[in-house]
Amino acid sequence: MTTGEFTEDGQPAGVRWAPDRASQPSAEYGTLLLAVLAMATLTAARSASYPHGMILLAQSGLALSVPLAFLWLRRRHPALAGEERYLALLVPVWCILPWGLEAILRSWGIGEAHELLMLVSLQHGALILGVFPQRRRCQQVSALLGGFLVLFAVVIEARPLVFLLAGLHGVWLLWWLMARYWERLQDARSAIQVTSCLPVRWSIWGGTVLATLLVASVFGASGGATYVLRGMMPASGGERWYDPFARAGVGDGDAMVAAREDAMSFGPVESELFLESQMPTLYDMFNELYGEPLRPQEKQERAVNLMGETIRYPDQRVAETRQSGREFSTLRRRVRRRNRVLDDRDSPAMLYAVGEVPSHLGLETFDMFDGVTWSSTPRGNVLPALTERIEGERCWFYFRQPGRSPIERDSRTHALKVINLKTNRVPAPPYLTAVHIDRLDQADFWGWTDDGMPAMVAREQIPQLTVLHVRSRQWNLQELRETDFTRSWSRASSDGWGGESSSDGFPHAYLQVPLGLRPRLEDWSEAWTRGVPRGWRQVEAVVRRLRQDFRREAEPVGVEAGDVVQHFLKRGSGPEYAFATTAALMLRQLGYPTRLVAGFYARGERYDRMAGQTSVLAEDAHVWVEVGVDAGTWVTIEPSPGYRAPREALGWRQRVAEWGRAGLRAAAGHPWQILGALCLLIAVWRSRLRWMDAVARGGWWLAGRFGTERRLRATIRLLEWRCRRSGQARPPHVTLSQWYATLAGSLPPETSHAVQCFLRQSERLLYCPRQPPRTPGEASAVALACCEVVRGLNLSCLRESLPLPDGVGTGSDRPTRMPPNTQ
Amino acid sequence: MTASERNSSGRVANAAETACAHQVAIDRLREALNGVLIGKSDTVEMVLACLLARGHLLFDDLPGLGKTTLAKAIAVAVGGAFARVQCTPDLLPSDITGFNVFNQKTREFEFREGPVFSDVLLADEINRATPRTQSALFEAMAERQVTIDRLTYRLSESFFVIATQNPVESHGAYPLPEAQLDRFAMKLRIGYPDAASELQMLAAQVAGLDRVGGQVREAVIDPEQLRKLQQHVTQMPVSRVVQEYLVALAQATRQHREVMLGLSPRGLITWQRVAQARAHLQGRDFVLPDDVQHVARPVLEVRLAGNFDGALQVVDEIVQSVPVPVSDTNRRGPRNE
Repeated sequence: MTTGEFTEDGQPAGVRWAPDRASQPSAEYGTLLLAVLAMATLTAARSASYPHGMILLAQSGLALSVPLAFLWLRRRHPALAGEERYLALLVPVWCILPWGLEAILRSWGIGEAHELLMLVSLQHGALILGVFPQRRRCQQVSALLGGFLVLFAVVIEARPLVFLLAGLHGVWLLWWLMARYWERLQDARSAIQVTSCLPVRWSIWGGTVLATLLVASVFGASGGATYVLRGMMPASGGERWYDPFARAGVGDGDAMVAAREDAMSFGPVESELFLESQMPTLYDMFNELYGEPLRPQEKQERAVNLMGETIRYPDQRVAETRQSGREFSTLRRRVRRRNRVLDDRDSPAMLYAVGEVPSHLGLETFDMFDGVTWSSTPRGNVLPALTERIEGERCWFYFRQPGRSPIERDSRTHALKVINLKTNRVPAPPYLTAVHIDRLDQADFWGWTDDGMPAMVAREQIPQLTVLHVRSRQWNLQELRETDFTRSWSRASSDGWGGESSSDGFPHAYLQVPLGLRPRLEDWSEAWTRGVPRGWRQVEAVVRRLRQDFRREAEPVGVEAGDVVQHFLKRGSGPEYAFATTAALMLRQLGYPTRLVAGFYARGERYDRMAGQTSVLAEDAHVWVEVGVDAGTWVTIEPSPGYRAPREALGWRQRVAEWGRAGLRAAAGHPWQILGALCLLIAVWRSRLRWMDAVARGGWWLAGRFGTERRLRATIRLLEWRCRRSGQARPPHVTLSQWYATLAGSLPPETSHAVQCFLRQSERLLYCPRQPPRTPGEASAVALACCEVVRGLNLSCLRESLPLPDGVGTGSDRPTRMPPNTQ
Repeated sequence: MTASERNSSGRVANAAETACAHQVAIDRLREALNGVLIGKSDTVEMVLACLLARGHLLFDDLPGLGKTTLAKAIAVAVGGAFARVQCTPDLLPSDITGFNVFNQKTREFEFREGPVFSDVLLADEINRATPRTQSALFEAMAERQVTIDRLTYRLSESFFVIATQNPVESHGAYPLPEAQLDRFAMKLRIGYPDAASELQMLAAQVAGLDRVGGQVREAVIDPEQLRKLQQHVTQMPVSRVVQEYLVALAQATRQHREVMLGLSPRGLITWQRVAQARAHLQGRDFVLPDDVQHVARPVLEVRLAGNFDGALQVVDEIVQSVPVPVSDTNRRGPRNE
């Protein structure tokens, strides 16, 4: 590779090509054969997952066509050996071509994963570079690309044919390397010292390496971009992007989810294997996480004999409600965890989630609390009816009509793949509005549970591997913060809450507090909300105090505690359900309806960048609180430290403030990385002119490959740019010769001479309508002059030269052009 | 070598010989004039450019600075007929163009040619002639012909008017009309010589020489050579971008707030021709924006009319307002940095 730099003997590297050329023509077919073998290996690997064999063959034929055409052209017209001038243009175009073809094929429903497409691009590059064996650099790059292709092909596909071809490639590569080695030894010209002169400086290489190290340290040491950029952007990369040709991920691959073919059967998930397996429920997970609920020892009391019809026979099946009546005890005991590694489970995940994380996925709600146990009151009869809506080709079932609440904002969608979760309830993000399963268009599949959660009521559980698309709404709480939202409750219909209502229109259950707890809760809640206006700010004040002043610990609240809330407040620490219970009761004491929600917390830390999805494990079972702000509108709050409340849809001012806070958090969390980045930025900023000059010189060097005229024009543009950047911009009315001839006055003689030569040639190029063709000698002289000018009139030289007076170019101020006594 | 290659190389050789001959003639002319007018090589260059562009020259300067001497030297150097007219208020048009006289012997009218029937005409103190007399030069300067009594007489192809005027004395003087000024290619000032040149002149007087370098006593080129030179200059190619630059400058003269009478199309053509001549004098076969700018002051000063005192300043403003065409960057207009 050569540029406008000069070699040690003073010759411009851009003019002398000989040291870069291969000395023997025997490499003409060797490199190309190497690339063809690599192509064959890759094609064999691709064919395993590509069902359209003819298209694959056609693509391979196309990839070979241009290289073969070049070989034929060279044999028929040896004079066209100079076609390498177009190499710089040909290689990028030929490498981009597969992407264009892929776009066409995808419009026909045929396609490949992006990583394979990238390999095909590299394959094209290796083939086209293999056609230019006279360039040693082309040979080397072609062989390197071929080796990479073979390596990748062996990794992605273990077929005998692939191994065979890879072995052939290895043998040929060995021969090729030996041949190149002996060639270089025999080449007398290889002894010539050639200065490698890429158009970049050491500062640029150093900066690039530093930036790479910094990025690697930030992203590598901290567990990924999701963690580092938390708060700055959605923590999940999911965001509804879906590639049907991807080779892994949620919702991809028709064979993975049989429901795509038959919505009623759900394919393999109802196989015996799965039916017989012991999969955990949500309560198994709670038991694993928090321990088992404590059951008071039943005392043997005196009893009387009952009549025969009231006797319950042990073999008679007792009716059991599956939809409600489940309880959540806040007193538990630590047990040795069973089934930490469940058998017959391919994946430890309960769910896979694609979409914004962290996110709460609720499964069950509780409204009644008796001091120890949470339970729920059936209120399914007041819940709204489902509506069905076709959007595109998808059938969405709406559990709530969007736009009912004034705090609703943007809609968001999650894709949830059920793996080991055994329930018919839909893992619902906060304020769920609609659900969709591919090809499922029957509304009677869906319904509400008695505690007000959406569920697939037609089944006992959602089949494994089913992909649920759930749509929910974000909210903006600014309005709630500014007004007391509880004022409108007395006017609101109590139907929206469900159940019996208080005199204010509130349902009793959501405001119920055990009598024994009221005095203490009243004291605490008043102390925490003193001076805070009534409304959402009081809710936030309670949550803030809980998150700041209390510590989360895994140890469950035992029976010795007696009262979980009192124990928690006294001890200052507790598990998540203690936080949630305390927050719910304290807010109830303040007059805000609350309910406890049990479900999962999809953590951003579990986001898998390769798969593009977040795993939700059994350890992610979580309990939190929702506050009722309107009839049927529940807003999630997160009182437990270490968990993030659902992201609020912010206005631009709020967003800016949030960014600022996130930036401060990031700075506090990664001070050295931030400091390093700042130093790097300052260094980059201070050396920006060098960077930009290096890029401009790269463009100039590239333009010089396309002939003398382009070289001259590129030189003019480069000098004009340098003049502007160095504060010596040529005034528009000043001609080139006036400007540069004056600047060249302070240059060394040889540079000054080169500037004069460059100016003469530039003027002829720009203003002479009849230009005679240049001889090779003239072209060489022009190239030399351009190189010398670009080297001599550099940024520092231009900065040091004094600016010309304003009158330049208008006559009498030009001492060498028009004397003052002419007029 | 094929026939076409032979023809091509032959044409190239002929062109080189012609260019060489032209350069020799110009060098002789330049040397002769520089020998007469000491220390004024730039003025001589302008005079030569005006001569090669087939334009007419107006010297606007004080007495005694060598205007007449230079005009006579030009006349002698180009080898043509020289005529001088001392313009006074009682000078009649026929004193310049010529008149018909009745011949008693032949009983017919005979035409007596005036001074315009020469190769170089020096109209000294032209602003002292009445406008009527000044107007007699209109047709001669623009079309190189005169019409007297319904008969048209062709003048010399290399007819060249050098007029002088004194800018200081306005008493009894008649300013030249705009139509007359537009027929001049440029207006030049010779200016005082520098001290060294004046010392050189004084020393030459003591030695008894009339001029330091001596007078031009014989022609250095003949009228035919001059016509070829002028023809060669006229045929010099001008690129499209330079012509666009000229047009932009001409439009700028018409849009300038202080200029009432902008550049006429005739003036624009003259400007291009003078730029061609200047390029030729520099040894180039194409015109640069530098050439256009270089001759802008003398060409524009003679023909711009308006409410301004310093015409040169206005010319500078006009030139500075139009970007020079350089590469593709100027198509986006000037940058304000």
